[in-house]
Amino acid sequence: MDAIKIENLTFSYDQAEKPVLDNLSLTVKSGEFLAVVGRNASGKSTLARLITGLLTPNEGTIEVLGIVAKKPKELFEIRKKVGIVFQNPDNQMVASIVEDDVAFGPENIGVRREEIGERIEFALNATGVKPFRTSMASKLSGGQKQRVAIAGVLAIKPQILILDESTSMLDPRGRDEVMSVVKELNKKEGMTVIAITHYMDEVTECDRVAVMIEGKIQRIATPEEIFSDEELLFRAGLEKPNAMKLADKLKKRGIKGLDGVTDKESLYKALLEAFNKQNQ
Amino acid sequence: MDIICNGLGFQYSKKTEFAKYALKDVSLTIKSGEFFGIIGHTGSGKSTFIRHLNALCEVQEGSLSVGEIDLSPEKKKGKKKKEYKKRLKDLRKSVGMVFQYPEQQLFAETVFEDVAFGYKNFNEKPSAEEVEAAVKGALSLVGLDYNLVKDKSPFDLSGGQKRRVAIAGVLVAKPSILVLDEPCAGLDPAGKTELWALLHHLHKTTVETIIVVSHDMNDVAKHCTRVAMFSDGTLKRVATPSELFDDTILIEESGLEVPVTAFIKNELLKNGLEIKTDYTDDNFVEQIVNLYKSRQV
Repeated sequence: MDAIKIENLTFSYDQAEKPVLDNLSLTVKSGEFLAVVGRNASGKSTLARLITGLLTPNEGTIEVLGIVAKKPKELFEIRKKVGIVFQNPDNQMVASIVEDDVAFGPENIGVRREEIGERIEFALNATGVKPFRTSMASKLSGGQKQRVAIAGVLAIKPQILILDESTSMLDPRGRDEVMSVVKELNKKEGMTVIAITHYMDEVTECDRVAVMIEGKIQRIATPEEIFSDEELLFRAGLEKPNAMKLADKLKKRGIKGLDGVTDKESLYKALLEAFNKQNQ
Repeated sequence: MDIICNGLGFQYSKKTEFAKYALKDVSLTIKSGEFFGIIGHTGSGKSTFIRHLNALCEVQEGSLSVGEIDLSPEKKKGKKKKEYKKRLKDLRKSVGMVFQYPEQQLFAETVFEDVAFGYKNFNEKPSAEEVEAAVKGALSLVGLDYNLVKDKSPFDLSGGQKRRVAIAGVLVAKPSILVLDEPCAGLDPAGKTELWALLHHLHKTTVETIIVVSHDMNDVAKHCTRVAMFSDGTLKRVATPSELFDDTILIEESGLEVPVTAFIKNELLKNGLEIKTDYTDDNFVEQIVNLYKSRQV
């Protein structure tokens, strides 16, 4: 089954203005890790808010796990199944103690008391925040806070997780913490992940990339295909990850075997092989 | 204007049971004309440090001076208190501070009013012509078309443009030192490249010294002339990017990542392939190509 099926979606905040999303169609497969990239104001966050039902489409349909939200009741069903983590973890914390914060979601949707305990355990374990479950949320680092925010979303047991620039306020280590938790949830639990991001290094590891330009999905393809489409990258204001940029420069200077480079590890391996093979 | 600090220390919630050193024994000189980088993990003390430069955190221990302005604790006691307050205004005019996500501080109805606010704040009763000239100048510095944006609501602009307006609101006071906390956070890749270009342009034209906090080591290697690395409230090292990134162990112990170029250099070295590089992309490519050619039989 498809996780999300969007057809001919059009949306504008102000009817008089140019639509933010313009006749957009998108299908996200169940268990897929999809990255959504594009300039600021290309419509990425608006799309995320429409999927979670925080906004309602002007035209077109959004089907989430087989449900089309027409009535408030269906919207409620969708929100149980789709979790969203925003940019700033401070905006998403409701309680002062970590485990209380994680409990807020399941309490809110009326999960039985006994089950709430189990869900909290699961969420704390999956995100690695168990060691500080009784800490004050405000005393945690950015990466830790953002993992608590993800735990809070996981406690609702969503089938789809949306990250709306969830790592942009974190330092490199915090970003790694969050992304490795998300990748594990995707691989082990089969959770569908949609990651909106400006970090091209995060994009290289996902299954597919949707490139947005002015409210439309311009292209949807594998990271390799997207990063070899120079013209598209330019139009969408994107850049290749650093390792790929370096590989391009080295290729131009006559070093061979660097075609498959996506990240620093693969660049290193390809270079080592180029050195080893050069005199054969 | 040189920034000189000696033994600078700071505690939040001082004299309470929550007191904790956020900064301890920091001695550092930033010379006029530098493009200075500040790095460190979250909670390393880097933000507390830059807050001192604008007296948003007042000196508790040690000494700090920015150009002629001495911000040491004894200067604000007794009779000197009044004079100290006067100097704060001079300080804040000279040191422009751009916080993280500065566009969140935009407030006025039009771009013009927002940028003009900064000017009016630092200049007593300016004439309408003076204000207009200053706003025009600041907007053109950040690459925005004055006539096109002046009457717009700052909230109708794109993310990158909003950030430019916010920076213009700081530049309008004509600071000689510009401090920016993570200026590229949340910008798309094209916006990020444009913003770095803008900072270099400012550095060449109007602002003497640029101090920038960044999490991206690739950017630090590329843009900064010197870097200070903070960890757990102390200053671990001050060096050029190339000296700093030679010390991979120190960087990683401090919870940071080295640039891609440094990673590759280290891994190749483990295999007996040695290059010397300053870790900028172009120099790295040059060095790899040289090594490759030198081994060609």
